[in-house]
Amino acid sequence: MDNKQIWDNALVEIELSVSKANFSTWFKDTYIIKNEDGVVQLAVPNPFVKTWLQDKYHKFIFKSLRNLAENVRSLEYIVAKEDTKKSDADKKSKNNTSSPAEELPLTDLYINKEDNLNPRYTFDAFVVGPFNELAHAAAQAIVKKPGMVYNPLFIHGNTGHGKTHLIQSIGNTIKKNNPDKKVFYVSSERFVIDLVNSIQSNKVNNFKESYRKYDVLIMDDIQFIANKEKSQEELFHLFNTLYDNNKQIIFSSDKHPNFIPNLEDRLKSRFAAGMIVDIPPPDNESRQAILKTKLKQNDISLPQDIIDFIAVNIEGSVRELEGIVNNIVCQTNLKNRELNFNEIKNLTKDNEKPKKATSIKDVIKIIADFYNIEEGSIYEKTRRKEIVKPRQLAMYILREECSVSYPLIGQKLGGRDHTTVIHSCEKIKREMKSDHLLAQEINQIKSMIV
Amino acid sequence: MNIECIKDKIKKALVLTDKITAKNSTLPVLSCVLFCAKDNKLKIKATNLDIGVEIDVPAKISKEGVCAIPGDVVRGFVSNISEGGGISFSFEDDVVKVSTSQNKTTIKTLSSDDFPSIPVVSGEQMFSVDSSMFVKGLKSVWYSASFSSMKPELSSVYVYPDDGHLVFVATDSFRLAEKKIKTKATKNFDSVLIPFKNIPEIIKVLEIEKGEVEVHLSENQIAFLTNGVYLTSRIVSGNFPDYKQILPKEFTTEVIVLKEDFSNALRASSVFSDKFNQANISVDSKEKVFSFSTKNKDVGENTNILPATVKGDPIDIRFNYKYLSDCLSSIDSDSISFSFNGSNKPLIIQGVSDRSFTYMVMPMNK
Repeated sequence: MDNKQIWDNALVEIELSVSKANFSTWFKDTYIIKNEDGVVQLAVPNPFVKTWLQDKYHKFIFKSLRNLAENVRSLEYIVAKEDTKKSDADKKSKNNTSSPAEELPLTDLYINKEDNLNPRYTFDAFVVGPFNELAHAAAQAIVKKPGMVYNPLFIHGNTGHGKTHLIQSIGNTIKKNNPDKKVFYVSSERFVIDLVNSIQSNKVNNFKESYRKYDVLIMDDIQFIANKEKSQEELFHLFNTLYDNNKQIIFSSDKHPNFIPNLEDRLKSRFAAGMIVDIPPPDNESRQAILKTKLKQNDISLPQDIIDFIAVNIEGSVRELEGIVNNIVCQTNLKNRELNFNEIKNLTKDNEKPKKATSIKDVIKIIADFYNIEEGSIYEKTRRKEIVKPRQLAMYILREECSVSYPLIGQKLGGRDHTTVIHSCEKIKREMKSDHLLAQEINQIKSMIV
Repeated sequence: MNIECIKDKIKKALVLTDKITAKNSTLPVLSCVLFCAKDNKLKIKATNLDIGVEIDVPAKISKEGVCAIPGDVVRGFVSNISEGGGISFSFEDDVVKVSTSQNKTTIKTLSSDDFPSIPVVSGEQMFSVDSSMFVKGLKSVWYSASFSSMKPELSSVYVYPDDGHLVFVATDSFRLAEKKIKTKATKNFDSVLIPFKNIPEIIKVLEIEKGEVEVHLSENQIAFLTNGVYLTSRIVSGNFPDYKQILPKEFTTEVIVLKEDFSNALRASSVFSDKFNQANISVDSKEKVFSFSTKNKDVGENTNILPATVKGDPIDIRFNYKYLSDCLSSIDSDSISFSFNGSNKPLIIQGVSDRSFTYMVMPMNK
């Protein structure tokens, strides 16, 4: 029997033995929140009901529950948060403010000013799948012993893979477990702005002090610190101070530290000192799990085949999945019924990745820039080593990513035979398996080609 | 139960408690006030399960007991006795006999067993504040709260401490009122959202008892404790919007007028307002003119030109005049300032000599 059934049955028994007035006053809107290890938590609408049930009906409720579920040992009453749904009826009630005046642009006070953490991000809402279980495990270890294991933690992965969610959850959980620990979340951009402001107003020392007092420092999107030498220097000193005092430091970035351009070596080596975890794109099963969680949060259920369909068609970031869910929720509310397969297909249509329409020339330019060579040299008939590799790579990428035919690639890249192209593609494919660095480079180039 | 007390004292308590009884509840005993005579004290209690109150009334108790008397009956009766002096209540079986020197009455009672207990708030968060100041804070802003229950945090008054002040805020998203009250340091609570429906009762109770009021807070309840009165109300859980960021800091037009003039102009022009309560304000900085006009095509139109000091750009802007008149009673100083920021940005109204009250109102579209 699930909690709802237990409580419904208990209510039937209770209703028989109390007066109707009492029953509707005191037992309306009550439900079981949790039934664990014999402890039942009963949600009540307000403290009046809580006090009254406790004083007057406790034994009675307990006995009824006990009759239905023998393992019940104790009973707690919890005042439930107000249910906003019940106010739906008021929508129709007259609204005095239906004047054509504009509304004040009020926004919710979501973010805690003191530590910058958004309380929405918690581990409870974090879906763990094969793709992110390593990162999640590292995060959990840090929550248990902040500053002692994996310091610093460096999480990298493409946008929308849940880096920010994960690192904010670490902050929120540490804060919850140890309220006296000072946690601070900052984006690297904010860090740079703070530094610049402090230099302007001659208060660099204040800046240094303010960052050194934290027990847990979380810095998001660290890749933006590239090219900012003074900020890197400050970060270096800050890092050393915090690290020496066993304070936990957490970074996130969209690249592995070795691939962040213009990052000082001493920072690179320090980032690598703790633990570097990659969050790759979610696999199909994880995407399904994420979809289901998001749908559940919105109280919507979809048949398995539709979830399959979305998971297959929306590849890549979790953010896009969220977008689709929001879209479905909105449409469902609007139409007031469940959406059918075709409607969902229509919704996802726009979210599918556009086919890569980049021209061959653009791809060559990106690759030439990446390897710092002349664009023209790729088309030339030279066999210099530094040119050959990018050229082969270009062929591979044009074939794999842009589905250009072998003969066309050959023709465009300086009138080569199509067998040369095939050979190059095979070679790169082979080398990718053994050469980790090459695979990384290819991934980076791919991400630049949209 | 046998008690005797002074009529005026019990009358005061009954007027307050009867207001709080629930008139149309499924539980009939909630329409009663509970007389609780125990340990040489008479407590009168009432609750509607949203707000609960207990008032101590000085009384001579010759026999302890409890009885629930229909609130409107006992209040209606006691407040209409003209003679002063003592009044006695004796409870037997299911009736209570009320007698004064010239009057004998019998009132039917309900079973007091079902009368709910009023929750005791036992949070560590508490502070004390002068009750008249607290009432002033509530009165200054509560009319701005939203009537709709769609967003519970907007149908509440938001109270939080800020640097030696208690700040009261309410908004229905069309206008916003903020009042700062000086208090002793009250650091030990974050903020509280009091449902605005309960504000009139809270004001009434606190107004009667002068002096310090102790405010206790727990997760779901707020309680006020003054000399012999205990009042507890539900509080709203949720986050009040971050309103400070939308308070403008700079203005393009600033106007100062006498409050008296403005209030008269509002009253006169309200006769000609249309169904949207629209009123037009135009400020001409060259001519130093502040004019206030309304127009209703079925009735006529009216323009008031007020003497004013004007600074900044000319402006032509429309408001719901009700929103403007609402705030006037909360402003203590003789002159008021209007600060504009262009025709689609909110207007800020403040007293000139007293900046503790700030009122922000959005303009109307044409």
